[in-house]
Amino acid sequence: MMSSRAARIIAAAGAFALLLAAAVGYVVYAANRGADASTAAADGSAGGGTPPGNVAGVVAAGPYYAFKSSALDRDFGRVAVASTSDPGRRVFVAGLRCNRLAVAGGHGLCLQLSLGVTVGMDASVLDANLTVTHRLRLPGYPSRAKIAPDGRLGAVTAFVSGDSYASMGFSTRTSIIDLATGQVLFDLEKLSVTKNGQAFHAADFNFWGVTFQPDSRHFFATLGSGGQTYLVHGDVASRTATVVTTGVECPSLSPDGRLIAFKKRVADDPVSWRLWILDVASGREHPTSEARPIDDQAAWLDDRTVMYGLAATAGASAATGGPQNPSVIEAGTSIDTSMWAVPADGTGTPRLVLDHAWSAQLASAAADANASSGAGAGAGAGKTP
Amino acid sequence: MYLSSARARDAALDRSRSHQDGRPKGRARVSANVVALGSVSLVTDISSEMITAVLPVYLVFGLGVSLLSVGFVDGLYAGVTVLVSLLAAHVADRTQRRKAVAAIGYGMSAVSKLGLLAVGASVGGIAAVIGVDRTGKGLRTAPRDALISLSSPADSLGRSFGVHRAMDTAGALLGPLVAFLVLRSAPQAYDAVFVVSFCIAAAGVVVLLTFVRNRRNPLASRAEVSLRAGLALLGRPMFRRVTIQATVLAAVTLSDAFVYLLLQHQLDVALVYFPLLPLGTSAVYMVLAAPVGRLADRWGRWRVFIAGNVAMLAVYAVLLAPIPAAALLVLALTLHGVYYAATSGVLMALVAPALPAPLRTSGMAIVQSGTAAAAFVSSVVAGALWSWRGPTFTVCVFLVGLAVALAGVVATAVRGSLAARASA
Repeated sequence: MMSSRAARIIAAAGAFALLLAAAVGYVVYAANRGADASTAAADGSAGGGTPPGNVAGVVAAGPYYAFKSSALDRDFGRVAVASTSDPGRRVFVAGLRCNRLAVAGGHGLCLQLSLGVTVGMDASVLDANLTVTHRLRLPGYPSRAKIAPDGRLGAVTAFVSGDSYASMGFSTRTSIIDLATGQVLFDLEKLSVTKNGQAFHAADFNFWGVTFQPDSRHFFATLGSGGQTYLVHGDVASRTATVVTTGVECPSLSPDGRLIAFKKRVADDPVSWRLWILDVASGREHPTSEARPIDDQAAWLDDRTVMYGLAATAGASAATGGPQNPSVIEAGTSIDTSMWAVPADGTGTPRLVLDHAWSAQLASAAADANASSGAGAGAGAGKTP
Repeated sequence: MYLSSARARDAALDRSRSHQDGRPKGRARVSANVVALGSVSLVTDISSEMITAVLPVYLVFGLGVSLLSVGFVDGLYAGVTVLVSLLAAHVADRTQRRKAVAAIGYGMSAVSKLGLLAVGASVGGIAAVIGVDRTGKGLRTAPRDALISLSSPADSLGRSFGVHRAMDTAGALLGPLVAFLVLRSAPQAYDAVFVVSFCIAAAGVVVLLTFVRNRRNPLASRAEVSLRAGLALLGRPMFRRVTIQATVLAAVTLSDAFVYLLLQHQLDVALVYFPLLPLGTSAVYMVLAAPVGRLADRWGRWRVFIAGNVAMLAVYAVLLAPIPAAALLVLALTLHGVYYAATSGVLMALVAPALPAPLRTSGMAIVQSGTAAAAFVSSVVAGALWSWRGPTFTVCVFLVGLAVALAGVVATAVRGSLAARASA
């Protein structure tokens, strides 16, 4: 006869064996499921999918979209280009996956989450044909990327955890990167900021969402402090910034530098935003006709049309007149998304630009050549390229 | 009657087992129950630190939840957890079923891992799941520490708590590594991390149920463990003094987050390595917890506890000192680890003898709640100081605050002992 203690130990051993089998079994199942291509393995490796195509051909042919493919297949997260004349035919870049992409001025920036012993991101600097020229590792989770019109500077915003007093609080970190060398020039935290003519400084300063002016030297960005968000106007050369107004998040300047598309917080809801437009000269702001919640730093198709990303389900429910998807997208790696456009003057209705795409921009090799030659000539805000 | 005989049998069992090993009981070995509780904590910490390591990435990149809404999830539970832990400690003492209350706590945290799979992208759901996990943690801490103290001979309490804290910290160090290995085998499979975490947490509950023995104390009457009796603990001079001292010192101690922020600030550490800073503290804490606990048993627990706070004072001083970056990093993290090794378990070992066995859980919950509330106040104050005048000013204020508090605590103690000698 067995003692009750021995019986309990045997029962415990049985339970351990069962739990171990369950844990190992599930990991094996999850690993194979990834390999089955039913879900995307956006792990940064090439990993099958559509073979890469002639990207340089698309770039040389005229205006094109560059974006992250978000169709839930093996190409999920890969960077692709498509000519504006045939946006349905996407041509994939070899071995490049991004959570966030910026393309302008004959350069690109690709931010990819990378899980190692610590969480961080790989930021890849790209040339005109989207091949990698520099790589740097930055802390935090990729959030926003923009490139100056002349292609010399880039800006990267990351969410950084553990850099904050609250255990699960997050702060943002925004760095200006010299795209020629692939080096961080400085973090926006180092800016001297003035508000109403007075020096403005607080330890809880967070910067995010940089957008460059047509002169490629001045920029706008959002500054968060004390529960308030400010729009600041900064100067890369002097590393100074001035508070312009409040309540403007993730600004994006139109190519002529006259309008800013931004996220405006919905009253009484801390995590829901709508797409609004600010007139830089007059300071007046108005909503676009896009009524769905957005969480993106917009891009511009021309001086009058804004493009932005939405979860694919949000698009579907709008099409069927169903309820809006309340969840917002930061840079989801497992969510299908699409790019929409709407007139900046508040009229019209949103139209679908690209299916299964995220972080898209309109670029043109010809326009980039003009911007580069025009830069450095002391051009001020408002100059049309 | 039954209770006391069961207890006598357990004691006899412990004795016979130590005789079988051919080793004398006492100093040389730590009670099997403490090792069992340490194993439960080790395994549970692997499980919970796995989740802590991947949760932000999962929420943002797996679900597309805005990081800003994640911030709102946190900070809601601090007050609730304190209330729950006091209430649970009272129930544990009233029923004398400490193991059962701890088991419910461990069980709730285990189930919450599966809850993460079930709630998907709903922010409310995730908040609820984290709430269940925190409540479980609040439920189990005081009963667990009461069991450790009731399973150890009075002269080796410090060592028992030290061994437990070392095992606990080992689990916390292993957790992120296990999560990393799972994600390496199955990229992007956050659900696999949750399932593995659940299995590990469930194994911890099995260890608790199988290998941990409850410690009951015969109760003369129910009144002995009433709420009133629990509050009356604060009327005991020794317990009140230590509780007040620990609470005051906690209020002038910078929280971990600030220490690492300051280090980062002073060193300009590449932020990529920022998440590695806590590992330095944990490694030192893990290695020193047991030896420092033993030192506390021999040299005096109160002295070691005070010395631990002096180590924290030295952390501030090092943070302000103009010394080379490498020295700053090593010194600050080592002293920070010493602070933990000399305070966390040692404080419990210090108060345990001052608490009657039937009310052990309630007393420990009172100390833990007091210090937790003080730590919360410290964070708020530090945050305000930091925003107002920046990092250096914040450290200076806390340096002065901790120095004054320590001087006050030591002066009161010296006066107390002089008065005792005079009256004797």
